[in-house]
Amino acid sequence: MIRFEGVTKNYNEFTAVNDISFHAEKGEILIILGPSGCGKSTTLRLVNRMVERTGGNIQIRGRDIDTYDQVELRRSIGYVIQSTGLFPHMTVGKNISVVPNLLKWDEERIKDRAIEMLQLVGLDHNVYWNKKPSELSGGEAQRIGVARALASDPDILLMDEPFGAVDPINRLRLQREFMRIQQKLHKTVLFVTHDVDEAILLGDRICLMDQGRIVQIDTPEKIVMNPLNEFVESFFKGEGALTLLSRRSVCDAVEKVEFSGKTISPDASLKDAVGIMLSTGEERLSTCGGSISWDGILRMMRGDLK
Amino acid sequence: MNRKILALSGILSALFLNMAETKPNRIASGIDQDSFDFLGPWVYLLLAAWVMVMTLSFYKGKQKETFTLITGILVPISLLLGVFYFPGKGYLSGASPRISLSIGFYTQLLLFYLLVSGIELPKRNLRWILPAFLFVLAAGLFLMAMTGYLKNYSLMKEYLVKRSQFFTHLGTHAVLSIGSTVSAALMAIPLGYLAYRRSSLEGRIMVPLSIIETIPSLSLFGLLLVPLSTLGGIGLFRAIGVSGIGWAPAYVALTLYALLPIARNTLAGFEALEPAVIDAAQGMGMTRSEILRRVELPLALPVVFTGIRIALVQTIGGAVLAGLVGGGGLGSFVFLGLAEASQDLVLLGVIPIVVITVLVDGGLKILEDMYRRSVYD
Repeated sequence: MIRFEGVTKNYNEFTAVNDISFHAEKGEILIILGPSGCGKSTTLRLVNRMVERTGGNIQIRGRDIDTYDQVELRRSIGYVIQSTGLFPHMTVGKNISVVPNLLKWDEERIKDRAIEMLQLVGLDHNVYWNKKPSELSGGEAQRIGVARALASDPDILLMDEPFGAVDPINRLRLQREFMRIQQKLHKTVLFVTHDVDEAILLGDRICLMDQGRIVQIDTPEKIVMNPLNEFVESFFKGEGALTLLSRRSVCDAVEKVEFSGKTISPDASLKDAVGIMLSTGEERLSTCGGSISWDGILRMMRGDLK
Repeated sequence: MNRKILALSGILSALFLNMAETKPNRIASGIDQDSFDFLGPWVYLLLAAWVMVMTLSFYKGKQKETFTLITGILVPISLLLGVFYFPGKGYLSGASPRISLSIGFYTQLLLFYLLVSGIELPKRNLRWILPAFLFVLAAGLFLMAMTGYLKNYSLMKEYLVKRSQFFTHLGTHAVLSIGSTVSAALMAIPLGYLAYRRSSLEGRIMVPLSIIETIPSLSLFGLLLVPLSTLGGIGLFRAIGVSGIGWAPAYVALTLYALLPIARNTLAGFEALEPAVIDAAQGMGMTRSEILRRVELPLALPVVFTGIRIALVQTIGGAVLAGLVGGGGLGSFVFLGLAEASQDLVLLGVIPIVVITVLVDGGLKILEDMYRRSVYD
């Protein structure tokens, strides 16, 4: 869906992006992860030509992005930024409706779509439609940013540290909501972040960058368990493995063994389960019509990684 | 300003400064009237008001500000009562007798203004008191003037003699002020936007405008004299009255002076826009003109509007100078009065300008606040 071949971006003497090649499959969330200044935001902005590349090819949907008219290109791609960039003089309803408006959809369709988007991000349109951005909390504003980006139903979504400015509790909430939305919509997403846990939780694959180059692209499991070099290894440290557990529901490791002791909700992740086992000393928890055990979890994780 | 000093000044000026002069005709000097003469029994009301203000300044308490305001209002009330009372005293004699207000009267007004501008009312819903009072006062004065009660005052006499000219000059003044502000806005807003879009041009636009601002008005008229009189030789321009003197140099000078505040505020208004908002607008696929129309302009407009308000207020005052070059306007009275040594003729020009400035500034500020709230809330 999105293909980079030998792409470079130079700013006079400084090379921000150095000969990178990768592709993002249709319907996958590709995380672009890296330390500050590694070129991840620049890479993202090369896709919608907010930054023009110096060399190499970029294709989306099989077409070179230069063959699109710049404005037409951007209207076909959803764009979410960290500070939301909501228009302060427009109501929530009008903010969400911006791109459909630019595309000249008719009024009824725009309004229906905007209401649908608000519902999608979990907000009551009766409450939020006429609010102004100044009345919103950080989490609400970011949800509306996402709703706005999805309004014209683009197949590609570019997200630049979208949940970075939100407090940790709400960030987790937003990440979970986003996963739920993605399961429904299957957009192709390029997601920039510097947060390792977020990358492991959300990504189908992670593209780790450093100083303008791609160091490794792999699934979270492979990149954590089989790092290509010391940089990758130290980036994910030991906690990477723990965060991998957050990707799996407890039901993924369920055994048909009855247990009448402590229970855990079937909505919990394996990471939650391990946390409870550690703090209570239990080696088995009842859930998902059976139970899960410490040994079982370990076996499952190692089995995944072979 | 320290209230005790204000109150003390109020008392001392009431006791020692003259409030008015009765003159037998326009030019001759007359007999001074002190506060006791002019206000009659109401002088005690005036003195009592200042004594109360002084006393209140020693107390602390929630109601202090409100009571000080109410007491302060007694000052213009006593002056008004005096204005009403004094003509009845029969001091007037001569061919064209008149009462001319003097320094004691105006000092009381000044002290009143200083007093109320320093009062901060504790509760928002009491803030109607002062504007309401001023409105009633103005209405009262207007009624008195219409029904002839003020006919013995020299200011009124000047007005009555020059009545038709007054309205002509008022009209010219308005047209000159509004016309030059609008012309300046048409040029300065695009210039300010240009300076915002290309930072390389910012210096080249703003610096000349700043330099223009520093040219003294008389020098500017001098500079315009030759070009405009040359221009006035050409048919079309001669037909509309362009020449080295008259309305044309005034109009051009006022427009030039109004350029800076409007351009500077336009630039500031656009620069205050959050970069993230512009970034989002671009990333979503708005064309440059869509960004300007749908995002930049609505958000920058409140600040641009402030610039226009500042320019208009500045121009209303500046238009006085048109009177110097025969361009009409209320300045004609000012300079004529200076030439004839008639204080009241000067005031006939100045007082309307002050009143109009206050009304325009206050009125536009209210509109500005309303607009700003509708944008952001």
